[in-house]
Amino acid sequence: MNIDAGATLTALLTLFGIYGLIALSLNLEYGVAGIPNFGKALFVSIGAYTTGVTYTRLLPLLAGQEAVSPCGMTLSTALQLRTAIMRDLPGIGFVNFAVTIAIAMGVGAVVGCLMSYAALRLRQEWFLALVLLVGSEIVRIFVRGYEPIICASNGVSGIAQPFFFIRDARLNSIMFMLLILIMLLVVYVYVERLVRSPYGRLLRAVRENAEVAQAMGKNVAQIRAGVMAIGSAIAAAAGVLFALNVGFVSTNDYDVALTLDIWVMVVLGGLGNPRGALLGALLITLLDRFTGIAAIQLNRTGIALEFNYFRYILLGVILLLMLRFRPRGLLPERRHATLAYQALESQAAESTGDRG
Amino acid sequence: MYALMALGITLTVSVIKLPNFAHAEYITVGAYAALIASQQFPGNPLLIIVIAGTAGALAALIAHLTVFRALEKQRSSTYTLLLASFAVGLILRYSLFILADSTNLFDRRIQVSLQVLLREGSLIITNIFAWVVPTSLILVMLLSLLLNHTPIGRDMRAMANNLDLARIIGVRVERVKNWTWMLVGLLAGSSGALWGIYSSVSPLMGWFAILSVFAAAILGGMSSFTGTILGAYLVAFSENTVMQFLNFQLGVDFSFKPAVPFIIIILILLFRPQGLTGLFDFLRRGELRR
Amino acid sequence: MKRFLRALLIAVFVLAFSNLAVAQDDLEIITLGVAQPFTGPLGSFGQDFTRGIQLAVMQMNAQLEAAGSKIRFEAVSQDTEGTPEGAARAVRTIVQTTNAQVIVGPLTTSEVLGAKQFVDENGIVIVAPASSGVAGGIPGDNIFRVMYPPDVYAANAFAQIAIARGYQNVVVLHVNDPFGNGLAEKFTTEFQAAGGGDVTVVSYAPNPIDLSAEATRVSAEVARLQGSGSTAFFCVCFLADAQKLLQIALVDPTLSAVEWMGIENLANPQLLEDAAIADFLRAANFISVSFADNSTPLTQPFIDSFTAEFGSAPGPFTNYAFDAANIAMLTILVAGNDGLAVKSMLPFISSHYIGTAVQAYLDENGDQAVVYYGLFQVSPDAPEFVAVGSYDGATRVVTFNQ
Repeated sequence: MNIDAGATLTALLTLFGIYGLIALSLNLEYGVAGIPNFGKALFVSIGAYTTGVTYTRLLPLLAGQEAVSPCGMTLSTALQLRTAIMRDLPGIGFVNFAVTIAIAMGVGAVVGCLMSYAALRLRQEWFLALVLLVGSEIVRIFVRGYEPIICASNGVSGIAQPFFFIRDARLNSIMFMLLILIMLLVVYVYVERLVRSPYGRLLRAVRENAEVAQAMGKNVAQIRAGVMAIGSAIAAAAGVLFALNVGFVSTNDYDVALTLDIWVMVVLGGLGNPRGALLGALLITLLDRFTGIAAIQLNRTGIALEFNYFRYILLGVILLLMLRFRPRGLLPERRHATLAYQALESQAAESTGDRG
Repeated sequence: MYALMALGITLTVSVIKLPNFAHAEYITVGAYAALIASQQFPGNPLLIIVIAGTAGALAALIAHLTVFRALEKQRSSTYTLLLASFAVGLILRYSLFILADSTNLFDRRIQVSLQVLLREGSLIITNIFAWVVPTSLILVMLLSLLLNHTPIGRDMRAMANNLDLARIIGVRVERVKNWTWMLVGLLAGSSGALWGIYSSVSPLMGWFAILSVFAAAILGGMSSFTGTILGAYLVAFSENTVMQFLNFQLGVDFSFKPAVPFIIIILILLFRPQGLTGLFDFLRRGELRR
Repeated sequence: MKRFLRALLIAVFVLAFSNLAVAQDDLEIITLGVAQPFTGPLGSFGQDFTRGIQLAVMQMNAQLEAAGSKIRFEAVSQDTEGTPEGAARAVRTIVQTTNAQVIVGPLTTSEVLGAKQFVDENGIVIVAPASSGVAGGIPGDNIFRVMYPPDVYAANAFAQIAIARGYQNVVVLHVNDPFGNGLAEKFTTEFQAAGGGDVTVVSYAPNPIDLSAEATRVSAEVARLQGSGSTAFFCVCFLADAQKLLQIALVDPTLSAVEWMGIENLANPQLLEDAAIADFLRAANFISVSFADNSTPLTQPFIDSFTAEFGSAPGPFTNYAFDAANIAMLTILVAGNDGLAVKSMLPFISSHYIGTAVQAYLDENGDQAVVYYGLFQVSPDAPEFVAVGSYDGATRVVTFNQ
């Protein structure tokens, strides 16, 4: 028994950072604005596919070399080319990383916007959930069958993270983790401020009753499009990190299961509360890691290969118990009182006090 | 077969008001029950189908009593129920994995040998076809008899139409719900058995098909039986014929085939959310919601 | 609720960090990592593979004990969920939890590629017993694909079979994944290089609900190509998909008149349980390849001891997992439990190892390079597969028995 605590912690926090970002975006969309985004995998995959494209096409160009097709016969030449660039030219690696994040966020925002307009036409509330779910599968099937993006079902390997030039594997993974956590912190502060801002109140108003908001002269369609754009951009950025962390882009990773994991995190943590989303992401990542380690311990004794299935059953049970007994999550939404509202409340308290 | 599976979805959505993704697992449960039954009683397709239907019904009823009823009582939103149905599906699916693992029943086909009964030019009738199609038809007919000519069917229709009103006029809502779930499970389970005879049984079979099944139900308008059956045939038809056309004429690769029902879902939901219903007046006869 | 969750987390935590292994102080226990898909569409493989590896470990430990050595091996496994990201996570967890330097697995090429970045950077060695996709053939990395030869050979073997049987054209139906794409592509070039005529390739999406449209297309292509000479059908599909295809083929006049070839998965007796299908495949002159034809002295002992230990015969590919575990353990015994030493030593060790199907010998990509397939057809008398010939990867020649 020699658990490498440092490396385990690094891996855990890296995963937490990535899932935390995605959970924050879903929390904003569903928890705050009430848009049931069951197409989360789609927006994450946008980031990953963008990474696949930029690291095979843009990276060699930035380094002043000719891009080689990453698929088919030239596969290993292309792989060696990009590994060499990431090893020896850290500056170019960082530029490429920044450009990738920017492109991914841009594409994510546009697609998110487009998808939100679908919502306008939908008759029943859960139709939107279904459209998004199905939309994410369509894109996955398309990318899997269409070679020019990421070599169809073969995927693209050798997608190195920007700190790859540091030879010490332990150190570069810690640097990458720090980068992710900083991004998470920035996004968290941004989302928290957004939720507290008047815009956040507007989003909640749309969630609670779109008709009333409409009657108050608010453009509900535009608001929904805006929040989907923000959420999807965050998710796409997380998708870039997701791909870099694995080092390989493949359509097999971005199916309905990913979307469900994120939903479990958000429901577990607390709807409408950004801290809840982070807590949910942390708990599920911890659970995943610990059940993984526990599985190793168990099968050392030669029993319980079925434990792998129990992990999923456990996930299902937790989700059901949460929905049943704590439908608003571990950290429920806080009431955000404005100054005017506080004044009203204190007045009310005074008047009852007078009467008493 | 799509018809049977999709009918179950239509029934849940209209009567229970729940888009149930665990429906996939009721199908798989049925298929596994049929597979195990077929090993005990080989060569008796009718018995196999009955056992599969019962297993499906039980799974659906248990899921309702333990999970969905409590959630409905606390007036959860549709998304909560949707999520709960995913969770139920997850639990059932991996329980089946454990079963399949311990009995080594992955990718097995329910052994009913194919025989050609009749061959007339391009029209070929095999014994499996002769089992599957009449069984589906009989089940569908029984279902519509049940809905239109029995008190329980009348109550179901009332609930589909207006739940609160149904409650007020004295429909025993809980009892009707139990019956509906059992009916749904029966349909799913027996379709799982039929499907297992046609192809092979694995713990993920329902999960892979569920979105296509939803496509069929949505195409049918989610409220009418005739519409759903028509929708199911259209989805099956378009999956194969439309894809065949695209492939032969435009060279579109079959790798894109699974996207066809999904595109149908999106187009229908966006442009004709009522599905096929109302296109033809005669379709209204089978409607749940008048 | 909170209390429940807290209790749950604590329970899992305690389980994770408690030491369940019965460690004896004077023994040096070396951990062999096993990353396999236990869940997902390929879940059925994981269990058997892990058993094959466990068997190798048990036999090795018994020998070590008898020899008075202080070294013992243990195998710990982790689920890859069948996805590249899951494989990366599984390998990482094993390495960080147990300090294993060598991982046996994962199953598919895309899982192997998912774990590639981590193992290359951290000096961990992967010994993959069944990954064969063309996309994984990369020189100089830490991934060794032993025993099961890369698809280049299967493609060549089938091309030679097709030529030997006098087919002028072939219609290929393949699953659209790294394995299927690579094999279909290679088969086309090999067949045409060997003097074959037209090859038409039809692909299908993984985990299909049904294959009737694909079957119609294949049938139309066969009919078209038959105009210019004798045509065969080559099925690069998984067992469950083949079951679906066969149900359609049974009643399709073109597909039941054409001759069939099928990849190794299809030489599975399960397929012949149905008499109608057995008859069909016999009539279609169906030919497949397999390693499992008693080609080394280890083959039968492996099957026997596996059956004795676990009560059921080993599934397809399980013997490769057994071999991979043996090669990994032998290399560790020689080079020590150090990834980089294992990496440089493994090709040498494996070229001195007799496998359960064929000798392990690696090429410059670290891929299996000694290839010997048995050719199998349905017996004319009984619903079972019988050997009808062989293929030698060194000479690239097929020979049929009399």
